[in-house]
Amino acid sequence: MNNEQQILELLAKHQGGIGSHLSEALKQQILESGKNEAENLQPFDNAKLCDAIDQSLQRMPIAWLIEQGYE
Amino acid sequence: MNNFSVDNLVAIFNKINLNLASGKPSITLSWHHATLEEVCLYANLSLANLYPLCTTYKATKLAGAYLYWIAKLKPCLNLTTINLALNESVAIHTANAIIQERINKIINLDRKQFILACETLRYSNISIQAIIAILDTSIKSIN
Repeated sequence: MNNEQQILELLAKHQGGIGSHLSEALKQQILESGKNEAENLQPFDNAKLCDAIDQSLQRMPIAWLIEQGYE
Repeated sequence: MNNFSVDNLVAIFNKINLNLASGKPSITLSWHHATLEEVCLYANLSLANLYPLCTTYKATKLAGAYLYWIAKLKPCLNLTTINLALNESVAIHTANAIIQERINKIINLDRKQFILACETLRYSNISIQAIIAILDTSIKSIN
């Protein structure tokens, strides 16, 4: 695919848009490669979650909302 | 499928409650356990529908789904004062905790961005996919 005419021809032949000319097997392969599996499979650690909440509330206090008038 | 359960959500909410109770002004939260179960159920259903080829979900996807459903189902009640954007802010803190626990990265919003995010969650329609895309592009490593 190296010029505008080729792209226009491809789109004219395949009304479904870019990607619609791919075979089902290739589409499936692309979908599989796009999988976004978990980075970490360990059970969640409540202590770490609580520590993260402490830090989060310090960085972004709910008081900001109250000062803004959301009370 | 994911490892995040309603017990983890309860631990997070208890911690938020503890923090807010000791703050100024002191805020006391309450919630129904059934609503937290509903949040977990719908977060898992959404992820399964959105990503049928995934068997586990990366941190931002998990966090995005929980952020969306906490903001939508509003499980927290404020027993002390009326706080209009409370559930939306709790949703952001929960998502932040999930991301930090999994991959040691954070959502770091300044005051203006935080208020804007709460307002958007409360007053506008935003999809789970949009939330996940925002999280994917905005999380930062902890310095």
